[in-house]
Amino acid sequence: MNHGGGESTSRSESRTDTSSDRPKAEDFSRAVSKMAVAQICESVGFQGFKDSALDALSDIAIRYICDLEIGKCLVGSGIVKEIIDFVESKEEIPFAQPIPQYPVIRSRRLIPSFEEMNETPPGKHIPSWLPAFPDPHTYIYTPMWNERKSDPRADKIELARQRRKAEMALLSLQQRLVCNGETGTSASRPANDEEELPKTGSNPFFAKPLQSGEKDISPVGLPAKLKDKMSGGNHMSVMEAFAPAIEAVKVSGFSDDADGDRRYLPEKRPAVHFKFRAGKKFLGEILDSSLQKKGGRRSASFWRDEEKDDKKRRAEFILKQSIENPQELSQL
Amino acid sequence: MNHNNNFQQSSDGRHDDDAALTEFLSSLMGYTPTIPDELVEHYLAKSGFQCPDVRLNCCLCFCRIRLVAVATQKFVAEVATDALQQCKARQAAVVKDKRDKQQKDKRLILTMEDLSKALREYGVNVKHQEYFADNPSTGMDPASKEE
Repeated sequence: MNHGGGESTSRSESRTDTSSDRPKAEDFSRAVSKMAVAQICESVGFQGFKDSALDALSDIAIRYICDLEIGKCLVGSGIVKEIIDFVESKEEIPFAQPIPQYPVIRSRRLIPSFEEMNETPPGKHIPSWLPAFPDPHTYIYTPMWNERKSDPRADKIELARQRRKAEMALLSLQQRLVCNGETGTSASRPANDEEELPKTGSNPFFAKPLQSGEKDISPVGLPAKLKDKMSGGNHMSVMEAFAPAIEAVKVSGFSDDADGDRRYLPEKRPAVHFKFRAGKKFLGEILDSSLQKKGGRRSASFWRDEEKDDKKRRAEFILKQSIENPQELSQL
Repeated sequence: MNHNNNFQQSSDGRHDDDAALTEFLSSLMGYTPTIPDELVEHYLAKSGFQCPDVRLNCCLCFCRIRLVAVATQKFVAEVATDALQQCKARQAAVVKDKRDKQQKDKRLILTMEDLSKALREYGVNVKHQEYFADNPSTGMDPASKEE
């Protein structure tokens, strides 16, 4: 299939460059019709075409298709006979299949309407079944927001909560120490629940497991110094609670507890020296030491003493830290 | 004569018509027109011919499309044939003058001149601008017609 001379092809190329940049919707069907018409002309006997002539003929063919009236009854007319003759005559020539096996000219994706987008059209004059407007980010520069959620108020609240938690821990420890001070070997955790429950509300998970006779045990006799301060109720400052310990610390300084002196805790506690380390390591060491000592003597009650001893030591350490670094309480 | 034929057909009953139609349809189904079905479908849809599922559901629609394609092909072929005759006649006329041209113009080329002459018989007026003084590179001819 030839186009009439080279001039026509170059003309067609320049024409496409100058006429329009965007391919229009009709271009494809026009191109197809052009090919079909060219094929037909070739079958008739032409060997070449002028571009303009081919365009005109393809345009006419398209108009012919559009203007055919299908509603009319073609049966009665003579056209059918002509077509039959044509078909029979044409069949002598092998079927000239069009070159592109094209699938479909359609498949259009419509812009969703206002209704489909669940938007209300901006303006009463715009019906909702029309396509929706594009999103503003497509035509307006909108700044990007950093999605980091840093709420200073929430941070402060969290910090306060942690401090309260530390305070509670200290108080509970103090209670335990007080109880240990009174009764040497009893495995009791009294009053911790009293301390903790009101603060934590009615959450049963925060309640320490009570042993059967725990609550009925006669109230622990507190040393005179502490009694006055504790009678006030649940709320007491850390400094008040640890006042005796603080005094002891100030007087004698910290010193290591002797190994042998474990069964009975003296009322006046000796000063304890603690090596200052990071909190975690310290606790880890405490556990290790308790285990090491456990290996030596295996009575259960004695092990409980060890535990209490370690707790006492821990409390003293915390106290010292709190005295020297009050702001680091939250790290507990 | 056509009119008489029509009258006869309608009065004779439709047996002949049906027979002819079925024969035609059968022959039609075996013939693939050069004009592709999708193109015809596209333009038929443009002019208001609705066919939801061409090949699957409605055989009649399919037949219609094929019919239209064949009719269009017939029309184009006729026009082309006429143009070819015009071209050959022109070449024959020219040959008398110069022998060189006969050897050169063995190739039959469809030109606007021949096309406009051929289409005039069908009632289509195609005007062709002879030349473009300003821009000789543009070659798009406006085709106006009256039917």
